[in-house]
Amino acid sequence: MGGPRGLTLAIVSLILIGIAVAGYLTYVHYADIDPVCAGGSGGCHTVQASDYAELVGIPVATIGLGGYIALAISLLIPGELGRAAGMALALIGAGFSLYLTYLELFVINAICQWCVASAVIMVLLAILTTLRMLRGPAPPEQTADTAGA
Amino acid sequence: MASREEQKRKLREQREAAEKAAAHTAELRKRTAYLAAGVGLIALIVVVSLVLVSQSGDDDKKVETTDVFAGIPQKDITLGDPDAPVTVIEFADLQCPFCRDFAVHDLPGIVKKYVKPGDVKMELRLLAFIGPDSSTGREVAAGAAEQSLIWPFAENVYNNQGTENSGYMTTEFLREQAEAVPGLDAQRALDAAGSPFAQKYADESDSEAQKQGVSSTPSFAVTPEGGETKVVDADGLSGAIDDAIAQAKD
Repeated sequence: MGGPRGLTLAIVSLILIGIAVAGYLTYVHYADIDPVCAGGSGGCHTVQASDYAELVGIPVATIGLGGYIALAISLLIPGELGRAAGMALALIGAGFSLYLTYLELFVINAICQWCVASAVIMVLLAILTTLRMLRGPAPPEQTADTAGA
Repeated sequence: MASREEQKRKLREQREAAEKAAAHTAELRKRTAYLAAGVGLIALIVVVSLVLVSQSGDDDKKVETTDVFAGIPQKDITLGDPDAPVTVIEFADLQCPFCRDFAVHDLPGIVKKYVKPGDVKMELRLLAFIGPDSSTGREVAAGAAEQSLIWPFAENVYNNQGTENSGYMTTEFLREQAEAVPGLDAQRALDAAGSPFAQKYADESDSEAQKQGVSSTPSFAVTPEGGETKVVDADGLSGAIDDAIAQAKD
């Protein structure tokens, strides 16, 4: 976790979990069923059925899924551009997720555990991708000459 | 002597190279920090834009009231010919967005195809599972049912539906919806809130929902004359009505 490789590994793991969560929420949206939630699906149903479950006609879960996939693609872009793109996507995702969590708590008055899980993942990704950006590229491998200097 | 000079030169070169590398690293760090700040700013602008788009969607949800129920008999909570061979009880919540979608997009077609020709009569049983605003709306809806105009009243509420439990379902809001229903005494409907009639409507609706095993809205209990009741969701409604009509004709 401390080195660049550990950081990337943690980011990849979180993206995979995020894809699973957002993918499930996208599936239940289009299958028109309630997500499985601990303690009954009342909160999840209310959130999924609310006006805020869609943005310009696109389910928020699908937008989230797209965000995680875009984050995964950004990891494949080498150099500063890839790191900046990853950080931007994660910050946007985290910011919007926090707004959605605010809506759940204070406007919709219902909590969807899957949405909260996705918000936590996005916030963690925002932190890790920012760290990755600030740390810059991985230091070059030490050669015999530099090691001895 | 030459070797000492050479050593000194080498050391100086090494020091200069180290200073150059340190300056380069500092420059890189500074540049990265600026870039990260820029990325953060862009992200903030995008998030604010998304929030604004999300909020602005509220205005698009208000649609014009339609004339779906014109010329169709209404009695208490029933819409359609009282002798229709098939009865459909709709279980809905005035705050439920799916119920709104059904009322706005599907109900006009169902009314035109099945209720107007006299094949189906529909009853509206409002539930209040979403929150306090649902109860407030249901009580005034009971007042509209007392005047046999619950269907157009509910339609007006759906057409102007706000965000769940945001407190939009005020007396003023409900008065506006009631006043927009031709023939409905809005004040009388509002006065029904808290009345024994409103309580009776609420109790009967809740107990009917329980009896039919309804766990989500909108749900529909479709019963052919002399036949068995089938509970379906909005997607299954047309099929269930077709089956019930065929069964009633047998």
